[in-house]
Amino acid sequence: MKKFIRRIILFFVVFLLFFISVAKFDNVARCQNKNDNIQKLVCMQNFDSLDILFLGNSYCYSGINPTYFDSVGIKTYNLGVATAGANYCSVLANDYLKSVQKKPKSVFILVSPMTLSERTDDAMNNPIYRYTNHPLSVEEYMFLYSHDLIKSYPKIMARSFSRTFVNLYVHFTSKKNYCDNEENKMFTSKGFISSSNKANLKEELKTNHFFSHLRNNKFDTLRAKKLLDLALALESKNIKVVFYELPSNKLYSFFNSAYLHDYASFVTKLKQNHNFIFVNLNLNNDYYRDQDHLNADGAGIVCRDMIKQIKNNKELSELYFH
Amino acid sequence: MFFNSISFAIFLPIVFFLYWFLAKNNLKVQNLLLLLSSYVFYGWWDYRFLFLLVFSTFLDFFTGLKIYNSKKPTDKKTWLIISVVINLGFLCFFKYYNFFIDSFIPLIETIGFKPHIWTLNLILPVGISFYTFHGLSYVFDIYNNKYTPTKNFIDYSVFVSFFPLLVAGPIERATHLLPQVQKIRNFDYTYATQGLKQILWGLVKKVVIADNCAEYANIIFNNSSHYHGSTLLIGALLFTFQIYGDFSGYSDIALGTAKLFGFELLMNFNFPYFSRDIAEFWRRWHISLSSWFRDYLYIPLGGSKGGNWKKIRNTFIIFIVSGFWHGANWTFIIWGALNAVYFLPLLILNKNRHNMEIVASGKLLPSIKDVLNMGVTFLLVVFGWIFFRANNLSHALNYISILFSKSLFSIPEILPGYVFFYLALFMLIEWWGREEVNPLTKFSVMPNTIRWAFYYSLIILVLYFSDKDQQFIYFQF
Repeated sequence: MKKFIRRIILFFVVFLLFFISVAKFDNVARCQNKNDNIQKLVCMQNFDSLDILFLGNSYCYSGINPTYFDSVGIKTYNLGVATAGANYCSVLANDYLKSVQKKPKSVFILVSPMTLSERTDDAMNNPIYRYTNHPLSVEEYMFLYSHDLIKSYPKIMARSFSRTFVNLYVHFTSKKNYCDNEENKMFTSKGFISSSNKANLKEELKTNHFFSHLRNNKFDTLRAKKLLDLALALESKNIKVVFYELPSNKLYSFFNSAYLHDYASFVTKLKQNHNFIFVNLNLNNDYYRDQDHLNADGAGIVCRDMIKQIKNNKELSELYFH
Repeated sequence: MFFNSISFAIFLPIVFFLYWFLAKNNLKVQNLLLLLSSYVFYGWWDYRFLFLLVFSTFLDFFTGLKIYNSKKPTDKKTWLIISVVINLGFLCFFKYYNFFIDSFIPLIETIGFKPHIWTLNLILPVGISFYTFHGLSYVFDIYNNKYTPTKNFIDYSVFVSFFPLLVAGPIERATHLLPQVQKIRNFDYTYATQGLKQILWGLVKKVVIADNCAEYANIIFNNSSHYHGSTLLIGALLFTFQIYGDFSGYSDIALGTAKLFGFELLMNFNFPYFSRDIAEFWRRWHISLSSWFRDYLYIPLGGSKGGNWKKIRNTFIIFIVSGFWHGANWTFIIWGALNAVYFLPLLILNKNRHNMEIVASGKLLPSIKDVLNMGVTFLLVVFGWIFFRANNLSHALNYISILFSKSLFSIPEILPGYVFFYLALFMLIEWWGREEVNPLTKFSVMPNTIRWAFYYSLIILVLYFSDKDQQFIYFQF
């Protein structure tokens, strides 16, 4: 029995030491990483003195094209990152503020039923906080933002462990360096990730299972509160906060009515205390790349509508145009 | 509590240490601790159904003693009937009530009656099919004078409720497990490490193989009318490996866990996809259920004695009942009947006991004949699984009609390369270790560093894919 316990302890101690120490370095090839979400983090320090910093999830990076805003003299950067909700938006906003000299005039934060669902801030598949200019370890992120991650800690570390090897390989073999602006396509697109695909039934079938989990989601008031806390934190730094919602094709149909009811109440509350831009356009499949993301054509229409709304908003137009 | 959950990862070491430190050298304490742990394990899922488990345990314990003590054969038979009727009554009520109502009301309505029978929103108590069969085997064995009943209720309760096998088997026999329960267990290092290796391999089967296959198999089966035949073939293949990884993975974890406590459970899977004919497949797939039906249904019906018609009748009965055991759906019955059809030619030609040894025993590679036989058997099994997985009969038929259309030869819409990569690796390891109880035993001869590195890789793979959170398929049975 003693031998068994000694061997088991030795086995797991060696495993844990090796496993955790390797997993710590999964961001080693940050400058060589092909992922658009990571490239835009590398690139963001080039975009100082912004009028608008856009925050949000993939709806943000596929729906907000800064070119349209630039064309009317509003300097913007799209820091939308896959799955970003309240936690990731906080990490991204803090990282941006630490990376630039001059803070932005305003931050636009995306709200949508998705950003308040369980499918948000996906630390497992998309641990963006490890790739920021000032990276956070899994433990730091867990301590500061998401205590409930303790359940997923071994899984996240396993992903980090395997990523370390891939990234080390990339680090020593890749000639591309996205820290060099000429290689980084996010430098020219300013964080917008364009798609010309159009939504169709066959493609939707492949991803429908992703949405099936949303049906049982309960509205999480804690996530909603975190979003409000982020707004307060930014406002305390004299940064104007605007919430916005984009058209999202079939997204609403994946949630249950109780969730949507609570979500609508939350949005009503937001509108009472903050500027809120809701792009209320009835777009067909030609303007979406799938069930819930806009494509490049959709982004064009949406951005023009947003600019119109900004111009019509006295407070915002004064902020950007005077 | 699921074997692939955090709660089980905490529960198991606690019970293990209490068992070997607190209950060491004391049989009564060992068994009492196992019983309490088993009830905690079961109650974790739904404590309300614990009473059913305790009642079923008491019923078989009591009727077992009554059968044994009865002097008249008619009294013995009466107690046996009481046990069988109550056991199967509970099973049928929870598992088949709605099926019978849904199936037979339309039939009655066609002859003019309009019955008002309620369908009930019943929850199937986890493991009911398994522990009912445990108990039944006990009373059958006593009735047939194969076993002398125990007078110790705790010992008997441990036999029925032992947590590794409680919810999805293997379906144990009193003759095999009860003597182990009645004897003090001493810690054996080799046995315990074998158990840990078997648990690890079971987790790999479940988390890496079954859950990854399930993700795509579910998409394809749930949207089968929208895909090419080639994609449906991929779906059927993925389900074939899903169900194997899922159920044999569960059995491996059960067997491994039992070994940690000094028990040896019945082997439930023995590399079934390397079978060269259907008879061999059924000797290697869900062995504890197949042998249960053989001993308590097929042989009492006359088995393969008598004429061809009797053989055919008995074979159909055993396979159809086995299909129905899996669930209240016509798809399971057709699946059972289909396997009977596969089996019959071998039985009639007396070729059902040709391939008793594992394929290519002592060799690295199989012969061409073996490869062909394995290929044909595998395809027959894959075809059968379509019925098993389909939501209903029309879904299965629709699936098959698209599968065998021209689109079978088009490029599949879904082809998860990484899943097939892991499947290929998995099958290679299984092939290499096919002569062992657990393929990981093959690695025992390797140097510590290589062996540990391999185990570490497997643990990391399990952790890596452990977010899929798929339940074990056989929990629903």
